[in-house]
Amino acid sequence: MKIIKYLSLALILIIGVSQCKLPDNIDPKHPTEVPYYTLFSNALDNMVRQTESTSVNNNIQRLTVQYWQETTYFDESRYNYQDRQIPDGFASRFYKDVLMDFQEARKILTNENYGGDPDVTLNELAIIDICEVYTYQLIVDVWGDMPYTFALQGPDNTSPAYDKAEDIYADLIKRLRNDLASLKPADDIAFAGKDMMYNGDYAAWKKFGASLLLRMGMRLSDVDAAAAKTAVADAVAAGVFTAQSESAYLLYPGVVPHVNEINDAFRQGRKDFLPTHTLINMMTAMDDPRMNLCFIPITFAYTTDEDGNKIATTLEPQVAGLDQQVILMYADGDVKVDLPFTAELADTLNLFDYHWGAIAGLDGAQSYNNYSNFSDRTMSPSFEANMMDFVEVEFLLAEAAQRGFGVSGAEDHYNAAITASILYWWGSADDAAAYLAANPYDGTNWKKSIGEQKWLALYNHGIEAFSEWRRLDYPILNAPEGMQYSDIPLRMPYPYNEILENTANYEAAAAAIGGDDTHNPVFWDVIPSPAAK
Amino acid sequence: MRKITILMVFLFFVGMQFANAQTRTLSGKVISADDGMGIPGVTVQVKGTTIGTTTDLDGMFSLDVEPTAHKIIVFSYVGMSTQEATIGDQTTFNVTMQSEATMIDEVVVTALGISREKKSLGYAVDELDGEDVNRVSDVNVVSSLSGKSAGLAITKPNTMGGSANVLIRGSASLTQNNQALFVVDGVPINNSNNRVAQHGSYQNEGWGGYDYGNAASDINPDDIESVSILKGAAATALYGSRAANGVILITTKKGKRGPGEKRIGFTWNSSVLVSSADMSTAPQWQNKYGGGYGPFYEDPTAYFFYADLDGDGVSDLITPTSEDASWGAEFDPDLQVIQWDALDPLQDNYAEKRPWQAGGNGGLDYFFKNGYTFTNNLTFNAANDNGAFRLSYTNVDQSGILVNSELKKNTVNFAGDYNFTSKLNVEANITYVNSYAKGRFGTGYDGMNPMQSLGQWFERNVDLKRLDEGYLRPNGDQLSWNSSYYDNLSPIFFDNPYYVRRESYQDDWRNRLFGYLGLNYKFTDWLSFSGKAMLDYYAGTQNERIAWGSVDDSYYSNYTDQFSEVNIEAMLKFNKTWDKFSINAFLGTNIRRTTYENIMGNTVGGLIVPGLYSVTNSKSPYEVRENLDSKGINSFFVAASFGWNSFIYLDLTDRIDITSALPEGDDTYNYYSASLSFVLTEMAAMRDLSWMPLLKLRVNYAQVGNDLPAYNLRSTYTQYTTYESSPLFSVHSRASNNNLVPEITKSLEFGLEAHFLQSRIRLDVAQYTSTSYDQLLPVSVSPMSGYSSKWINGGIVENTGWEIGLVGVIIESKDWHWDVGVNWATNKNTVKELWTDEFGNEVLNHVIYSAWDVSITATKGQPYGTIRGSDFMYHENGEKMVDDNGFYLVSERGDEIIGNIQADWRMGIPTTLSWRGLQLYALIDIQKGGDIYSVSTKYGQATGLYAETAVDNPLGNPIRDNLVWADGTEESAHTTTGIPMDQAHETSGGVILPGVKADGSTNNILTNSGRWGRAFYYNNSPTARYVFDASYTKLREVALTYSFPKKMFSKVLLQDLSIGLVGRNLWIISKNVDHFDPEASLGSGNNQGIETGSYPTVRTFGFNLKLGF
Repeated sequence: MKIIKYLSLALILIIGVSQCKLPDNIDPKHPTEVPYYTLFSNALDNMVRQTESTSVNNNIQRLTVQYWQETTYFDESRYNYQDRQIPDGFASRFYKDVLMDFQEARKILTNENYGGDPDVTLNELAIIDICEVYTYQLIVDVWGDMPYTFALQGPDNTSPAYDKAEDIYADLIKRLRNDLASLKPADDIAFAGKDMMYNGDYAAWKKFGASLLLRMGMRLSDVDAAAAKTAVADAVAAGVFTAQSESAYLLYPGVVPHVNEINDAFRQGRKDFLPTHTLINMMTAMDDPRMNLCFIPITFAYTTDEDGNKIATTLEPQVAGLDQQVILMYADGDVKVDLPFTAELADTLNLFDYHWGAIAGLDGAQSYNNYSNFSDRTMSPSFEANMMDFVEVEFLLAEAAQRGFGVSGAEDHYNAAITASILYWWGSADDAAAYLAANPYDGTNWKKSIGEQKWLALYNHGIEAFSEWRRLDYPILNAPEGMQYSDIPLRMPYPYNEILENTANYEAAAAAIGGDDTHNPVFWDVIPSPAAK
Repeated sequence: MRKITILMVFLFFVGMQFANAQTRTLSGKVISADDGMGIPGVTVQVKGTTIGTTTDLDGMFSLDVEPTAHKIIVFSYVGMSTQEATIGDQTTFNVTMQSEATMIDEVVVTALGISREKKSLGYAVDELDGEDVNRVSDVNVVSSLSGKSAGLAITKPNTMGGSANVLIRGSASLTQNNQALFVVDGVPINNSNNRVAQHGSYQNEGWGGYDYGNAASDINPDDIESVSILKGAAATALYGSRAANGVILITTKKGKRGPGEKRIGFTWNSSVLVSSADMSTAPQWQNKYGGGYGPFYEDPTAYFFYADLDGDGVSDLITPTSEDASWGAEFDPDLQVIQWDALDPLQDNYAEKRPWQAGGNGGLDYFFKNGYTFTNNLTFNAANDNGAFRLSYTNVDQSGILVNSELKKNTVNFAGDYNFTSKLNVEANITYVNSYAKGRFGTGYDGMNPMQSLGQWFERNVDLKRLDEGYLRPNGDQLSWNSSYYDNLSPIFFDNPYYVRRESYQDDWRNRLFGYLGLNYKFTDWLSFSGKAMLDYYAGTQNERIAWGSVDDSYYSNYTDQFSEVNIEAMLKFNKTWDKFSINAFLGTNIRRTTYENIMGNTVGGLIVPGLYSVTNSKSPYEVRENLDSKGINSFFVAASFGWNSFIYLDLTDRIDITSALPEGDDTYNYYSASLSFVLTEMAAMRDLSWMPLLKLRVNYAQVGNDLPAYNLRSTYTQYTTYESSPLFSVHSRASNNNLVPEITKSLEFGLEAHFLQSRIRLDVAQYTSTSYDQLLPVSVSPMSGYSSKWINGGIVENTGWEIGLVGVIIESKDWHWDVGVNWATNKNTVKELWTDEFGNEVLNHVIYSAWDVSITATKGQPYGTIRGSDFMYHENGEKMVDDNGFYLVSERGDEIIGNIQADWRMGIPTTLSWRGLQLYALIDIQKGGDIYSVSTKYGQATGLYAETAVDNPLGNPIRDNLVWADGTEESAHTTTGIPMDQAHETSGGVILPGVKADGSTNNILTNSGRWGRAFYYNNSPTARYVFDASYTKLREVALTYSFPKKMFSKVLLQDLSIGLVGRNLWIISKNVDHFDPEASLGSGNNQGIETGSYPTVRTFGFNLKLGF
């Protein structure tokens, strides 16, 4: 009987196990609910960061429009998007880290149990919407057709179909109009002080929204002048930026990781980028005061031969066929001289500084120390990011006036834009006046006039400059070595992983534009560049 | 000495009292039927008890028994047939043992630690004894298994303490763990590889970090008695949701019951191993050209920086230190150049010029030092009639082949059991391991891995000895070969590798405790109960540093983790034989609770105070992240083995797991197996075939599972560093799924075992097919969905293969023995199906991981691990095509299938030759097929560092020389135009890439290869250019040991003495790659097949000594 006793004991033990409670399956260290404004802040931070990014893994538009050139690893400067899957990084950031978090914040705000002040909530929803419109507008500008209606549906639709770019644009403009209408005074600021751009100021956001409407309207000017005109009128009526201080800036705290993207690229001692000869030559030709404010010149130094004789440096045109000039800067003033600049002349002068740009798209390495470098201000960790500014608004108004879109004073706006830009770069009013005198508005060739000046003024804003260069077809860039002018991209290829992850929709989207090719322009870019033969 | 030993043992026994019952002494002699000599070491045991002894050197034994309780004694010895004798009134037993039944009655350890006669098993089990894994030991016991069992695939990186990947019968799971489960004495041992995600992605994706080793490397090889490898699902089904990948069961040594005078034993094992880099597996550098990317700089030749540094009024040639390639000026001893180390104004050699030559002091091999491993093991053994214990202490002290690397390990193991009554036995087995490592090798494409520069981006003029001696400036700053400019000594891309090794080192420690307490109670001869409480616990810290003044921000992180797994197991065992019918059954339960807790703090934006490695010494606010994972499984299991007449055996098992990781209500899963064994030679007709003593057929079927990690049913938000006062949260990038179920693997296996010629030839063949369904997949999805991946169940993977084990004893005589084994296995893996998206579109490809333009994927219809990227364009004659300028044509699509990581087959060939006490053992390890993508080769060629970039062309001219047309016109150094051989001048440089032209004729176009961006440039080449065949044949292990004859010591305390010379990875007999080890890996896990910054194979040679008292 003893055996029965022990046996029962053993069986009880075994059965007892089934009563042991299993642990919870809830992660105790990561939240399943967060305040809505933390999602907004994160989305906003990522929106700015991706727009301004200098990373060769996700944003190379400064290289594309030939503001910058890589020193040693020149692939991206030659439009190699594939090796680093740049479009994938670009799209992933905008959809997953920006739009998804804006959407999540909106979901919380529109939840029926959310108990916030309705007026503040309406403003917050409008601000979120403006940011989403801004993001989508950049997406459409770089790619054309992209997922919109079916995007961001999560696991229920992981293969979103693509929308036509013009349809997305039309819807975005509609949304912007609604947002402008719904932004109103409220008892409290939006986002509880967690809005890093305008600190929840509805009026400031409204100006940004109106300015964005102006930008988007003007983008349509070659394809739908009527729509463009209406949008411009609505934007101006709603109130666009009227001063540089109203611009959409993000002031970085300057504390890692929240530092300016340029600082981030150079902070660890890397020297991957240089200003291009395209940019430096144009600034030289125009005697641009901003050249010295954006860039640090290099100092002319002699080299000597074995007998100690000074020998000529490489101050001759870098690219055959370009009659370049160079500005030699002395303590007592600047001298602009033609190239080649001879050793004999150099020998009669004392040391001088000069600006020199790396050759855009060169199929070879270029030594960082041989060219102008970036100024301390642009390299500063707290150098602000600029999403859209007063300068751009004034250029848009100049063009709207020129095109007869119900705005007057093309030249005045042109002058105001350039003056604001020079002042922004810490130039003086006198600098601006001198520059304008040398480079006056040319209404007969306004595309060139506005195109070149806007390109200069948009320096450092690669994505927007890429759009406006395509739309205005100016300035004439330099075809990279061994390439045709038409090889300069007119859009970015679709994310490479779409081929695998969203095959059917990708193929349909590619077919709709005649192939997923950088030579196929987006819908608003209907006029071919005069340089592309 | 003897007195001391006795005293020490006495101290261990203080307090232990042994009761003496009414006893009678049995004695006798056991002799061998072969030669009539006494057999030492035969186990003599009272049947059904643990009371026993072993025979002495002459085969004599003496054993005290209680005649009232003990009826039968059993004589057993490995390789001999077990015999029984009835005690009755007899006191003297003279027994003759037969050896011909070798291996037929072999007993092996099976799932849950149940010992079974091998012939009764309907599935494949390989058993290795401790000697097999410890003869030429590796500090990581897992790598010692390589080549020793068919179906086992081990890969190990060449980093000190790195993690070994263990696959049994291929990869069943597309994304989840495929590593075999390690079980030590019934205790499941965590074998994870915890890597700190320092740079946001994981170490085994190749973007940097350290390989902290697989946790099973804490198992001490010296303590291993035997290793059982349970390969198929039927063998492992009792482990339920952990069974899918096979199980490696390790049984540790226990206290041995010895005859009276040998009840106390003491052994000392000691070995010294010297390791060195096998330079045939290291990058092969060229010796003709120095640093730079080409003629892009300042002096008239454009190959150098140019400034007057010595103040003599003449500009000096200066190495372009800001570059990290070797497309520079051709070496010329007459050229006087100021090099990287002569740019420091604080040092006497400032502006010193040296001849322009390849860095001296032996090139890359200077970087690798000899490493040493000292292993010492002390073991005490003691026993009496009712109990035994073993206490062992092992100390390992290792230094690696890189400077400032060391690994120390102390292991204490205690195993003991005691019979409180004849029915109750209590046992305990506890292992404590303390390990410390400093200076583990940085891995992957990262600055903390010196091989990133030395194997990929380097200036060939740099002398490693000078780097070593001159890595610090007098002011304490780093001096790198890669200064930003001649007047700016901060490094631009790469730190001095010696600065990295000496200043930016990591260190880590871990304390681990594992083991069990168990009791066994015998109700009757046929029914018993066992209970076991098992623990695996560890806690450790990993500290990583980047020193001030490095290319990357200075940095410190402290990752502290704690893991525990508790298993409580209870079993009722039933074991009874009726004449011809036997049942061996058990019913049991197990509760498992695992907790993994970690916290990581790290500095952000650099250190405030240089050299102070503390998380709070952070320029920006420091970051802290915490994780706590808890998971539990309650299980019930039942198993029964029915035998009839030793001829047919049927095993049935079933296990139910209830897991916390799945939704309540859907959390219960069932795993089962059935296996049959037919021992045909037990049939009357075949019983006495002398030429074939054993023929057995086996078949089995099983279904097992693979569970889900905790917390995947519900999404959480991800936090980022607060922006001033704005906290940042983001939607998690992986969408969760509340409807997940475990992966299921179904397997069917057939096998045959046969012994021939008195078991001198033994054959074991297995054929299996296992199919895994409902794969748990975090599948990548279009980021336009708002997520980058989501969890699903889907996908079918099939593994089918053959395993053949063959052992032949070629010579067997009194003095001589020679055996050769072959274990061969082929596994064909097929991804049968992936999944369909929400709209029913079938997904055909899943990316496992990728590096730039190459990805390792699972592709429908292909084996797991297809390598994808751009391919060559092939002419219809099958040759690679070049364009009009002689560059390779690249396929339009960037996702062509260009290789597969799966090997065609693997084979291990162990052999032992012995003459008296002298034994020579060798193991050859072979892998045929399988591809590997080499990031190092891609960059090493592109930067002109590798030897093939500095050879001569068919005209006899250096391929880097400029192209020259027949009329003497020279192309510039930058040209992309090629010149056909027949139009080239006899002095023309240029390389001819192997391939054909568009018309199919052999390529004869000389192509510019004189600078970065030309014929050796990856962007002018398809991805496929860097895919290589990973086949190899290696002489893996060699051991020459001599055991001194025991009679030499008959008058002294010493009982055993053996000495040995051992070697590991001594010779790579063949391989098909030039610059790396074809086994190169980033560590354990599913991410295999991409080599990046790998280290050369470590070759080990040493001496060991075993003393037994």
